[in-house]
Amino acid sequence: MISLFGTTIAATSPWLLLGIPCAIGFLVYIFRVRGTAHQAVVSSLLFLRELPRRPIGRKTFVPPLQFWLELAILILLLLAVSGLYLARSGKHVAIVIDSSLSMGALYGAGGTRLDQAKRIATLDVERAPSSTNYTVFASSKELDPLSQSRDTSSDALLALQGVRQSHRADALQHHLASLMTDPQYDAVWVYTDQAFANYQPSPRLVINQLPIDPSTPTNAWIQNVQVVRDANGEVLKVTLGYGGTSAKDALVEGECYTEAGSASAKIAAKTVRLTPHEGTATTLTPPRTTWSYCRVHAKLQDSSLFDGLPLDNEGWVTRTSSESSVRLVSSLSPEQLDLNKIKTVTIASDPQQGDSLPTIYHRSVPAKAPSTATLIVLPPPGPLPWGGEVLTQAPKAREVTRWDTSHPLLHYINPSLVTFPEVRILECPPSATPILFSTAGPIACAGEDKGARYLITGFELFPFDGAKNPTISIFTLNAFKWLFQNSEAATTGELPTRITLPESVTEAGYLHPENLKLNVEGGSIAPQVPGIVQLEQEDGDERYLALNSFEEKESNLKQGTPLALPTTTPNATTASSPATSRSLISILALIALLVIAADLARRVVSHSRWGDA
Amino acid sequence: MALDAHTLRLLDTFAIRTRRSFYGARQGTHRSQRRGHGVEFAEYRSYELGDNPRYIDWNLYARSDKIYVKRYLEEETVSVFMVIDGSPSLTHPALQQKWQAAAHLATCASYIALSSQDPVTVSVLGGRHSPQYWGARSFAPLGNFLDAEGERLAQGPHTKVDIVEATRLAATRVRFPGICVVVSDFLYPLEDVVAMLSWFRARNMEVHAVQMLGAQDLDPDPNSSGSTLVDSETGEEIGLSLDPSAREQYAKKLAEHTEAIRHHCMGAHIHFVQAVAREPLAENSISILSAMGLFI
Repeated sequence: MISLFGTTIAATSPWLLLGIPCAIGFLVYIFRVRGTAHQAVVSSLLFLRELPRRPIGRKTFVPPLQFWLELAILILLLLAVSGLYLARSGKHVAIVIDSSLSMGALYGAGGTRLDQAKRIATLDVERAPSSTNYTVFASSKELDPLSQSRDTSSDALLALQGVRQSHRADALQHHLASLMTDPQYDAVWVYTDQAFANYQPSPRLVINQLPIDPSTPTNAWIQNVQVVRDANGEVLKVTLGYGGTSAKDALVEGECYTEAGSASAKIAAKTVRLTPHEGTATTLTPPRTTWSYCRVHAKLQDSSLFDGLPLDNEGWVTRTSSESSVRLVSSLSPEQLDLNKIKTVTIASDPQQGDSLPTIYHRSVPAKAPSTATLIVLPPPGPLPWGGEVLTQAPKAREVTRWDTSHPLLHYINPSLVTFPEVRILECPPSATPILFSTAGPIACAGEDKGARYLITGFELFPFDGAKNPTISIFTLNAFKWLFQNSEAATTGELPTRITLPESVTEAGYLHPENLKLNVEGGSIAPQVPGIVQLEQEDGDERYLALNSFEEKESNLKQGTPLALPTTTPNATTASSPATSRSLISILALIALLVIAADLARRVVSHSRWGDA
Repeated sequence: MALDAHTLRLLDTFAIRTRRSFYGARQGTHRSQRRGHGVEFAEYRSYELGDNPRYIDWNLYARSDKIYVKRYLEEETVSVFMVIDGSPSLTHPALQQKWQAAAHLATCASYIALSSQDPVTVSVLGGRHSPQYWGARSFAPLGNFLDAEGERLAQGPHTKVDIVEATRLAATRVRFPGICVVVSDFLYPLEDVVAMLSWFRARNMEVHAVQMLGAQDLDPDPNSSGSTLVDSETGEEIGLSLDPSAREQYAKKLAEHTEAIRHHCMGAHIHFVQAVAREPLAENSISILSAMGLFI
């Protein structure tokens, strides 16, 4: 092992490097004693044979170019055979801290599971050899690196303190699979509350599963609090998810706020009886004064009980942002289109409401480019205001021949099964891509213009008939989810990873929790926690966006099915294992090939023939 | 092997001069051993029954009272036999300058001979079509033949030629004794060279030997201090350090060999010339022809 300019070079079979001086000697012998350095054809060896043979070695050896080329090839091949590689000075360990919602569960008296995981990881780092390098990851829905690659132990400890609780589900299994296949990591240390089936401790993969809190059986298992207001904002419908084994009483209370920074007004609390495996619904009456947003939370009445995961015990609701509110521009009513069958959206009562609402244009087109999420169904023929064109009906385009399977709009459907009675060919706007094709051309385009998503379908989606036409129905639901769930209407379900804001919004920031920053990038925000986001608009109005997180799997702290380990076979690892170091064999072999090619080219250019001097 | 106009004009000034007289096939310009009806008086002979009375010298009969008939020398053509060594030592691509010089020399000599209506026979030792007879008007095909043979031999295979046997085969096909010009590098053992030349002498020919050497023969591989030397005929390789002393020894051995051949030739009445293949070929050939003593 040789250290050179901060890089350590080592070989798996270093004894083979002894072949290099042997190769040099052999080559010199060949070129000097055997005289293959230069070959000359003579008429006859009649007299030359009689000359005294003197060893050429006595003379000064001036090696020709051929000698150097062959020497280079020999040395390169010997280096490659000896298994030369760039060694690392120490192990490179990937520390993966599970930061999903379930890690927010209380753990004894010392905080949460996440805190405990960080403590154990800190101890592991402190006990590891000082030469070890680390990369710290927080794993929830995404795998976020919290430190630079190959950090020292002190930097890794700092990064560990920076692991924040996430309110999202985890994808640990998927993240582990990618880390295990990454050759730069000698070992992967995982800190999680998830159980893994068939896990065998190995140096390559170390899973630290946090033991379940022994007091878990006394948990009340309130799994979520879902709050929906009625149309007038006079009643809050509260639904509690419960995962306990016996009925318990819970107190549902809340407070409402009129504007940002104002004092809260308490809502009269209610006691509800939680029934195992059933959702428990109740209603709350907010204060009669005008309120802007409310927080509802539930707690157990019996003080001897507690909820292991208090993070999911609250829900947020706003008054102004009518959740899932979508504007419909159509000659038909929502009932005629059966839009009331789609529970995820509410059609706005006033169709003349401003452009800020997501809009469905049924057999019509917007007058200008969409500024918010827009669904355009079977538009009339003619050009679109922001580019593209709707062509006339094509009789041969009734069947879908090709589609973009990767697009989320086409998940879980097989478009080839559908025959459209009426279809129009589209020329997609520049900001859109075709996702469905017929023999005559594209029939559906999806895109995003100035931060607003839009979908144009050249075929009819309505009336929504559910199971009667499952392909179209699933496509419609996918479209609603893709268009409207990331918008303001998405106040229920999984916490969205990114929300596209209307153009009129100039600023956005968290009201609750306080002191949490929210960056607006490219007209969208990436919320990290549930709460209330204040949106400031161009006209000075303020609007509020309620963000909730319902992760059924994460909220259920009972151990579910153990995760399967990644199929990657853990490799035996050592600090200098060539499998985890950068092998130079291919590079050396490549250079040797280039030298051979250069030698061949040289011979071709020089027009050498046999016997040419 | 085309000759340019300037070379042809120079060659027109040459003529073959034989040291001996030969029986010729046709009427020509060279004094023949045949007695007949030429213009030059040769001898008197006693009249024999059957002699034409027209050739009786009556004046001599008046003086001596004996009947003699006059004999005159015939003038006939003389056969020119061009023998070129076609072994790899001349035809190998690395040494082909020697072949080109030899072929050019043979072409020039043949042109001179054909200009005076003397038939030319060309034999390439080791060649495929050897010997070949060329008539008086065959100069252009002769040049093409030498070109084709040169190209074919250069392509190989470069195998050793049994030069003595090849010479024997060529010599046995001689129809008329005449002038024989042997062009070779003579880099064979002396006994082989002697055997080579003896076959032509045995056919009663006037033999001229031209040793055509190349620059490599005088100084093999001058650019390298150590190299593998490959025998062009056998493919044998030896690694040798050709330092100045070795070169000196080589030159000495070559000179001794040449001197031995020259000594043999003098004893055997063979005209020997040593030549070095150089460019331009025309000047090289003319200088060799001048040195050979065969042409005036």
